[in-house]
Amino acid sequence: MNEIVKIQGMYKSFFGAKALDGMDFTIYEGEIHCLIGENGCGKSTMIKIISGFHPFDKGDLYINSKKFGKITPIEAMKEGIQVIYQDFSLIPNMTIAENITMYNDVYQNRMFVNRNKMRKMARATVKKVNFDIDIDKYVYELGVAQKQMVAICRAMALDAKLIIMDEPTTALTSKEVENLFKLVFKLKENGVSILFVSHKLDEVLKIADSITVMRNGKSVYNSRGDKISKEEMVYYMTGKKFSEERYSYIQADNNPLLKVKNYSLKNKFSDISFSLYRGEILGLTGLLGCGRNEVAKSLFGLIPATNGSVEINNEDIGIIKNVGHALKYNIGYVPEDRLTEGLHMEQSIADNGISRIIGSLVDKNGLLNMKKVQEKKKEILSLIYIPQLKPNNPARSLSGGNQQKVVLAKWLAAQPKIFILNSPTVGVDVGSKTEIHNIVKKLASKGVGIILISDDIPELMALCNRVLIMNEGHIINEKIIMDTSMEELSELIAINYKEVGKAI
Amino acid sequence: MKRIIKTNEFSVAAIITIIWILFGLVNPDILTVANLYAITRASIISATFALSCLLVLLAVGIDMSFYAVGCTSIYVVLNYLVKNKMFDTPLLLIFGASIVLAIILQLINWFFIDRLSLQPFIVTIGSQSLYKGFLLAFIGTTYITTLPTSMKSLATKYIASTTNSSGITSNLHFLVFIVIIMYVLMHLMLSYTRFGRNIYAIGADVIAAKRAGINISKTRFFVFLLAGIICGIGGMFQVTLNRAAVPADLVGQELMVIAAVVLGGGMGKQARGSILGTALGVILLSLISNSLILMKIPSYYQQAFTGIIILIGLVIQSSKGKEQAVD
Amino acid sequence: MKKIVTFVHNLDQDVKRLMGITIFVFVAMVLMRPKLFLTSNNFTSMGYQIAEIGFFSIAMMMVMVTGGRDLSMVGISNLSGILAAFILHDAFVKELSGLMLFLYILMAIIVSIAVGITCGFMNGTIISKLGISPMLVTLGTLNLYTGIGIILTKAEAISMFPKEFLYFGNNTLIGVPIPLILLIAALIVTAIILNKTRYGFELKFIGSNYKASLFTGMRNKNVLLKTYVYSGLLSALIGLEVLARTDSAKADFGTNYTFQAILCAVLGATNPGGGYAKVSCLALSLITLQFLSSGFSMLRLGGYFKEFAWGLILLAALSVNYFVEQRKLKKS
Repeated sequence: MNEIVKIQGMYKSFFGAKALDGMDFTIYEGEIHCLIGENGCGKSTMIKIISGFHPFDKGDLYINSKKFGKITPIEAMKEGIQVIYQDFSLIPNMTIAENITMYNDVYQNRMFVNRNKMRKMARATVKKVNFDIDIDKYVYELGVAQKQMVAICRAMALDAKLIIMDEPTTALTSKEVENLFKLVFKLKENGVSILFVSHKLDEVLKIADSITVMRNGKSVYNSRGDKISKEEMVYYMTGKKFSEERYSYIQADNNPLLKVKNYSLKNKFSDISFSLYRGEILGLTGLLGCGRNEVAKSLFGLIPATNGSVEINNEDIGIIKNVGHALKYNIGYVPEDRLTEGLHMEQSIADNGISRIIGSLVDKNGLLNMKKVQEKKKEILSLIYIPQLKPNNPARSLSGGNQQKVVLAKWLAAQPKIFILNSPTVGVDVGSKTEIHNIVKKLASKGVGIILISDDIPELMALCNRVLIMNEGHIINEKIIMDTSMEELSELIAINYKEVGKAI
Repeated sequence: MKRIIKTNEFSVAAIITIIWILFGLVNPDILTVANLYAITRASIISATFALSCLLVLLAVGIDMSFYAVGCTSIYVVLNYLVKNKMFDTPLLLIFGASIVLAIILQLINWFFIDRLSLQPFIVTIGSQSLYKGFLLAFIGTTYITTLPTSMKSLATKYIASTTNSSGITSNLHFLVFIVIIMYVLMHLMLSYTRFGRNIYAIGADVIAAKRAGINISKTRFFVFLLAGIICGIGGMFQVTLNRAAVPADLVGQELMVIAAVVLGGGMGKQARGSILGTALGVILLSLISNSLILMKIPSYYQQAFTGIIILIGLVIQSSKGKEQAVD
Repeated sequence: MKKIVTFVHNLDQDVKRLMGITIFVFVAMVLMRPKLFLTSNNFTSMGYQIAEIGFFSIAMMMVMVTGGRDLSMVGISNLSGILAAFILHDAFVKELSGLMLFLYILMAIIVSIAVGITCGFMNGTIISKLGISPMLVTLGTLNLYTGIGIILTKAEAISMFPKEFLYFGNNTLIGVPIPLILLIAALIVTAIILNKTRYGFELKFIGSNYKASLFTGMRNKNVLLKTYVYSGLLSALIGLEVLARTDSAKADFGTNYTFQAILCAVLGATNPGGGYAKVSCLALSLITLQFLSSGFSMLRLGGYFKEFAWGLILLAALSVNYFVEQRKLKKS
């Protein structure tokens, strides 16, 4: 069998930190190979090296059985390697047809653009993958799943031999994931190899011919066709046995801290009703597009609901109108994307720390009490552990995990009574993830009501006492963690309830 | 059909039509062919520079130095020619020299904007001041009124003329024809060449463009090169129509051209930077100043009026949900 | 002596750099025209000139921290000046004195400030509520405000104001020109606002990441609005100062002040992309530019040379900022 890509003993460091530490890896022709591992294990470095965007320090790289000491992006494309990034990298103000043919056109570097040829090629590609769309539409008009299809078509237009998909299902609904899998199998039939990078263990089990698990820059497990269970995968990924540890919760209070009644937002979610009790860690999950992000943002006042009401400590406060309103009731929110939503990267770490509570540091004369400010900065940064911390350095100098800890600390300073965390450990290294989990558990033990939105089923199992499952804008299921298992939970999330005919 | 109505170009065209009709009711002279000729003649310069503006806007951002580039290049060339009494220089040579100089000046912009990754708006207000100051401090401040013969004859070349009831003749200037050709060429370039498409790509998403294999610096280099050519041509046009070279006379009026380009839809994530939009924007602003004069509204109302139109245009654009890129 | 050395050593990078530049320029000017430059006459006249560009620069700096630009400042300044001028001219013509004169002057000042605040409010509202690019909005309002000024004055200058009012633009207090005293006060107030108020803190944060500030619960729209109102206010104050100093009000005065304000802010370590500014650096930048300006006049280099030099300095300052940033990135 032909080896499309072969890597032996590869090493790569960034500024002294080892990203790849003796990696071995092989992809064969026409196979669907899944690469899994926790964040920080080296997956994205691998992708960048194979596609030519980063040089490597040491090791052997063979592509199509040719040895490459160094490879450029163009050379990688020539060898038939195409990457579909998480953000798709499409040009929004151009048509679908143009986007599909763009990589091909740039590559050919012909001076003139033949519109008709372009549209013909686009139509052919779109047909090949069973994508029913008007190719003259502009990309900015499309939804996420459609954009992904365009990105895939673009890779196909260049006669790819290896398509690398980086976390392709993050933004898809269950039906769209099904379609994607059908497409992946079809590609395989046409002799295309797929490198599927994901952390969604169910999906990996469904489509993989081979699985490679990475940890700390090395391959720790590799199989072709052998059966492996989810527990085993988690073990290899984290190095720890899947924790049977559960969050023990005893309801202290019969009065709900937060009661959401028939909360609705047009086109996003409807009739959301649930209660949150003191000390609970309530999970909120479902496939992307199910509306969970919108519910979270709505409860924080970022996108006010159109109908329904909210009760906090038995006080009816109607709809949460804006962020100020949410803050008044001590609701906190750790956003999904710390880069654009969570931190101010150019400002100092210490300043970021006090940014949420700056209002409380004002004196009677209207000016900031500088002494208080300094004290608070120290206090807040001591809530988390960052080795070799230089508080006056800009926040961008921290690693992803440390950055997330600062976001957490910023909110802890505000002492929220209801704390919403949206995917708090995405892109965070294993060590920081554990720390964050501990902080969350400690908060809950102090009586804070926590809503945890997450994709990460092991995380939900370990942290939450109860989980709400959403689908297409409704809450369709509720499970007590003690009474369920990882298998059951993933199944419940993945079912397309409309198809099964369950009442919504 | 619905899609056409939604476009920005349609709105601008609609506004132009409405204004034309409304103002025409006040003063029917506005609707005459003669007036049309007058408007086009008044638009030649701003239309030319608007093209350069659009190009740079699509690729990197706002350019404030285009007038300074255009005026400096032509003045330096003419100053040299006149001082050395070279009045018989052929037109193409004058054009050529002016263009070369303008290219150099725009490439200086390129260096700061692309190689040093600095903000286009601020770099270009710096270069605007630099070039204008250089021109007036080191080259000369005198008006050059004796132009080379070739330029003088270009100044009076007309394609068509019309005489109105009072016996006054209005002419459609030859340069209007050239400007239209330039617009058509630009449209073809932007829509049908790889280079043109690449400009849109890097304007929309630099990272995506890089991943597609587009050479960002090289594309920007040629954008500024082209901008230089257009500015050089524009400078020539200005002197030709004015029949004199007044050093840096246009500098200070850049914001009007930029407003025209922006109103024509040249900015923002959904900018399809249409040539048509730019043309309409230029026509709109020229129409307004021309009509105000004809409606006997004192010239000092013009600025306030223009300001209001710009604000209204921006508000309409924003209400359509189009994202405006912040410079 | 030791104390001074440690003080200087501990100063911020940017402040150090600017101090170096200021001292360098000062020394250069002194060496070139010692007899002219080192006179009290020179320093006094510099003191008068620096005030106008100073106020504009402060306003531009604050707006830049939000990542925006205010191109309408000159229009606001002229318009508010014109409205005050009508009142003052009336007082002059009526040959008022005593309490009546005082009331008229007070009214002129109040009207001027009110206009400045209203114009700034309009800028800020459109920008914060509709999210349109500040550069384009203030381009529109520049035309609008200047245009209204032109309409009101029919493009002619208004002059002849009561000498009691003119006093403030042309006299000194303990040897320091009054406009300069006002500028120093404005610098101090701005420094306090920027560094020691909640508004200033949020201003910097909103400028560096608008979205994250929303998610952190900051009062984005409110802060933006306040900033443009502040800019309008400062512009109105300049309008008054120009009236007092030049005894005239014109609708199109000072059109190149906008560029100079941007130059001053950028040279003064303000980040044009938003999120960072230092008043001390702005002050040093002002001083440097003023030294240069006066120096050029003494060297008989003319206004055009100044424009050339300003363009050069802006590009140089931007380049220096770039290399400093590159060094910082490499370190972290």
